[in-house]
Amino acid sequence: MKVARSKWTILIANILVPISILVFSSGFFPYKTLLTGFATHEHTIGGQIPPGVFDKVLLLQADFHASDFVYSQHSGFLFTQRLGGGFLIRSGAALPFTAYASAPTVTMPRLKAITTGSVPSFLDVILNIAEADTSSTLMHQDTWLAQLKAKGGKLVMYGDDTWLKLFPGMFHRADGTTSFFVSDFTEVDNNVTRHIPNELLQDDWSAFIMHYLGLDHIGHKAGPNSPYMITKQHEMDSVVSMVYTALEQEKHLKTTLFVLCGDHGMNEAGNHGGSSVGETSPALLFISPKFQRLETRNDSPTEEFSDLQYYHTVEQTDITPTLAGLLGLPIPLNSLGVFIPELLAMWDHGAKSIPLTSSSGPHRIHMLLENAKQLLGAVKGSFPSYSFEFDLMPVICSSQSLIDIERVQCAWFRVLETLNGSGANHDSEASSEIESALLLFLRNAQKLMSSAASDYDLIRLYVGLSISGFAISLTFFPAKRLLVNFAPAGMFLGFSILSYSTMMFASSYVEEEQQFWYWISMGWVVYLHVKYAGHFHGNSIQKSGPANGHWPFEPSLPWFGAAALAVSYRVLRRWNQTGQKFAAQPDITGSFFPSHQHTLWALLSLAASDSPELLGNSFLQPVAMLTDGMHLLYHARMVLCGISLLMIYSLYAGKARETTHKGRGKWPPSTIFHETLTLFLLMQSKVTNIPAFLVFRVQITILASMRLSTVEQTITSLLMQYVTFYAFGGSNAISSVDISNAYNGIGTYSVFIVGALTFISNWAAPIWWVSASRLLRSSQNREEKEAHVTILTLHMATILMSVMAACTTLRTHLFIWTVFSPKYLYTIAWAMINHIVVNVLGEIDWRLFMKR
Amino acid sequence: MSSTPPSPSLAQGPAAPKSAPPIHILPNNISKTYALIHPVLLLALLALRFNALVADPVAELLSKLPFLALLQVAFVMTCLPPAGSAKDDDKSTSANSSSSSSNAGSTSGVILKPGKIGLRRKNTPKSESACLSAKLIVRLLIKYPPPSSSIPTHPYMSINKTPVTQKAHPTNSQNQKKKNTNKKKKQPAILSLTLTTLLATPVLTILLILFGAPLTTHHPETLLCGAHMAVLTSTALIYVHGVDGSVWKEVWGARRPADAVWGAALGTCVGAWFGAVPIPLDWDRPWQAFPITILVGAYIGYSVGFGLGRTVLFGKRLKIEEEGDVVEAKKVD
Repeated sequence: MKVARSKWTILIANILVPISILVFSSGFFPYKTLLTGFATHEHTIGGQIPPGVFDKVLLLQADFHASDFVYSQHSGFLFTQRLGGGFLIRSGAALPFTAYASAPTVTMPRLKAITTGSVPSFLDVILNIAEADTSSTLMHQDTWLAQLKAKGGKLVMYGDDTWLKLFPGMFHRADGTTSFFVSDFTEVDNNVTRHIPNELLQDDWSAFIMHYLGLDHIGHKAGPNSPYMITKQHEMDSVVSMVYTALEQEKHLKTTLFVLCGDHGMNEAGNHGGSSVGETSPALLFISPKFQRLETRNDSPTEEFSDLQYYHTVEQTDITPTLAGLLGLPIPLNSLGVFIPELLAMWDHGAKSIPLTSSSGPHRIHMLLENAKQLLGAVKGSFPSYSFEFDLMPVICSSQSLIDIERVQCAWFRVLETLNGSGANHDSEASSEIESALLLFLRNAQKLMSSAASDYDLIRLYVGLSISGFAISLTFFPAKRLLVNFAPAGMFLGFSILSYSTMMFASSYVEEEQQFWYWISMGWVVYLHVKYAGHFHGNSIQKSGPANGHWPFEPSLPWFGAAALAVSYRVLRRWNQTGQKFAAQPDITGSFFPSHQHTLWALLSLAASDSPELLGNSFLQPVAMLTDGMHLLYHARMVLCGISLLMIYSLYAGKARETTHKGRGKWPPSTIFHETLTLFLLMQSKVTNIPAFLVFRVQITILASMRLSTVEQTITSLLMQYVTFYAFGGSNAISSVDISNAYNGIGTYSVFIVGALTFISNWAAPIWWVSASRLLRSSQNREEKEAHVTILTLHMATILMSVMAACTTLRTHLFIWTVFSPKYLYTIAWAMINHIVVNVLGEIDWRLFMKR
Repeated sequence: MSSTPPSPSLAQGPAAPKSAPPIHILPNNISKTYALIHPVLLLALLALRFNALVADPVAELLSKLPFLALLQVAFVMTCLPPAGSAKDDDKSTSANSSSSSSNAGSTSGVILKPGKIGLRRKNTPKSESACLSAKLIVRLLIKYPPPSSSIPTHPYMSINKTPVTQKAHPTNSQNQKKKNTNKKKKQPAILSLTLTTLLATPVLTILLILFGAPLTTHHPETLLCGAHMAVLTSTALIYVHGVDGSVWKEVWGARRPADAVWGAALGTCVGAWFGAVPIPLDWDRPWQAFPITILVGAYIGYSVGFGLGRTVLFGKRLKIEEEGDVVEAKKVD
């Protein structure tokens, strides 16, 4: 009765795990509503569209224009700071800003921000991993590039081919440079620079984009303080000077706006992706001789600021409406930017050439008004339940404590009020009042919408958390009953779970999670050593229990078994260096094998001949891979077929064997299944990881000789799964997902198959350990198997809940998108696939189903 | 995480001998007082030299190693009964008769035999093979004196140090036999330092590497860290137990009954294990470099284990035995 009930609670707990993941994810990765279609000019209030001040734009983009590179005294940008006798910035020909780039500070999301004006979400980063996924292109989104093209302009692009990926077919002329070779500091940039003189002579383009990669490469390779940096800055500066000279001299470039902007900065180590000040503070410069008329005066070079906020700080998304406005384009629909107020002054002077208006005020106001209406549309799209009709003006605006959306509402009502109040005649006082009201609304709306992108549905987060908490409480008592009976092992497991759970709240421990598993597993080795070395002369060897299953190898290594295990762990630990802090240090796959190719191949052949009864098949595998490349796909499929046939055979043979007679036959079917699976996993692993399976085999042999108790077997299996995952090079960074084996035997892209193969190739070692430990536990009865699943479920549910709790409490943490969210994604994979599919479903005796 | 000279493997007796009882601190005031001071002294030394340790771990570890050895020797000679110092044992005189060959050889016999026969096996038949192998090892050691240049100085230093400890004797004498105490203490001390250098240091270094210390780099750091841990763990163990096979078997299986000596040894190793915890943090502090946290953990673990072993946990053994199997557990419900 009790047994049956605990069985059901475990089942329910395992159903609750995916449910909690679904609920939590829906709150954690909110879907951002994007407006579709393209913006057009509306003619409503005031009836006038501010005319474009420029008709061409020249965008010089370089990774890592961290603002202190451009603006500080130590910068190599001499020309930008100094022009002729005067200074480019001082003369007012360049308007300098610091453009805040929100995380993730990697190129593709940043380009999205610059072109669409929207704030990229974390989902964009995930989508960008699937390169084949075409939904991440910006072809069908409203960008100023699309607006320019719709107006009939031609676009030209040289540099980083991310642009070409984002805008396929958009450019009239283009020469993409891949940023694959990070150690290339010169060629990537020369490939851009060589086109510039020609393009400057052409007058057919209306947007000319240059994206330099050199600074980025130097940053990644040598850091921001490397000697290469200053020379590269001088090189960039000379490009700026060349372009500016052309702007002054060439007639067709008279109305060209030159924008110099960085897509992201870099941290002290030269890397980017996170949200440290260095990474989020790229420079932004608007350059044109026309700006000199504004008579803006800025000091340059300036003092160095520790927070890198030079001049006026704007949002990176502000580039979009500003460019659109200056070029006389409609503002892209999804833009969350605010027209940079300093540049409104362009219409003060530009108005002189346009006789239509008596004063410059209307243009400025119209510009902001258009911006406001566009942003209002975006706000309405995201908050459909709020009304922005003037007649419904609520009284809440007078209260002090307003939530963000209400603040936006009130700001908008204020705008409407001032507009109505001033009527049609704009005197300077009224217009400045309108302007400030508009800007207030714009800023509030921008703040609201930018946070909406990373806004969490807290209720769902808590519901998800409590569901997983409920799953824990379901499993806790059955598991506790088991663990209390195995007090030392239970305490060890409890210690492991507790320390892991607290660890999830520290970003560096999440990054270096492998260290925890190596550390705790060595503790486990000591535990096993103390227990079984003690048994040896504690004369309790009679504890043999039932014959140890089907495991073929069973030498007795009681004395030094644990020591050998420790050695094997040490080898595995160094197999692949992973994580962040020590990732660059030498390891076996990265440093040893490249210089010892023969050793690798010797180990490989050893690994291949390790499963003797299947030698024929395993021999086939390399042959199939090595014969003619034409039919590689076919061969791979054949091997896959052979392997799956063997697996099915082993299952059926098992059934037949059960029904007929026991014993006889050296290789029981379950062993054959395991060996076949091993073969398949070998195929799905990186070549350099294959010899590690030999180490695993040594380990399982030692473990088999130890006669572990039920709980110990479970803990061992658990630890091995995690240890080997990291030993194979896995980590909690999305960049460590290995897709090199995800396409074996597949001709076309299929999300499901590629996904499954990706999982298998990344989780090959854990899968092997699940299967191997299942073999180790093959003598277990039903209760013991249930105990196994109970403990596994408790462990998984606790881990899941601690990760969720960490993501919830640290949702405003600097590293939420770079460390904790990837960890959460990995935990989903661990829970949904490795736990439920591989561990729990693998535990079900499929032969029972076949019998029916 | 036990320090394990290979003697147990040599001395695999068929019988499971009864182990040596937990060790008491010598029951006189000086011993008891110093036993309280000693761990604090070690921690104070560590705290005092911490900045120097962070600045240059290798130089600091190397220069402090003799001091540490000296302190440990002073501690064991002040506070602990040497191997073979049996109060209720008169066979020690018969052991002296075995002194026949060289000077050193004979003294080693003096150290070992009484420990084997008298104190350790009061009521059980002695394990001849263990005794034999122990003697063999010591003979070997004496025949092939330690080749290392820096560390052999410790035995001599300890000899030089003996006049200091001699002062303690009058008080000791109230509780113990007067004659030969100095010699009886000096020789186990020499033995313990020799074995610590030759056996425990390499074993602990290997253990450090197995637990994740860098294998290809940081060799001096690892070796010195191992040496410090060896001095912390093994000096007292060897001084008290000599090369008693059954004791070392227990050490190998980590199931000695807790006392100050074993508690400190186990505490050192557990502390070193926990000392690895702060290393992966991204604080980028200089003290997060490899051997420092491990060593600090070891020192703290030493003191904690020392204290716990003497008091709360005295006489208890680390035991890993499950109470029942799953099926039984279910039945119990």
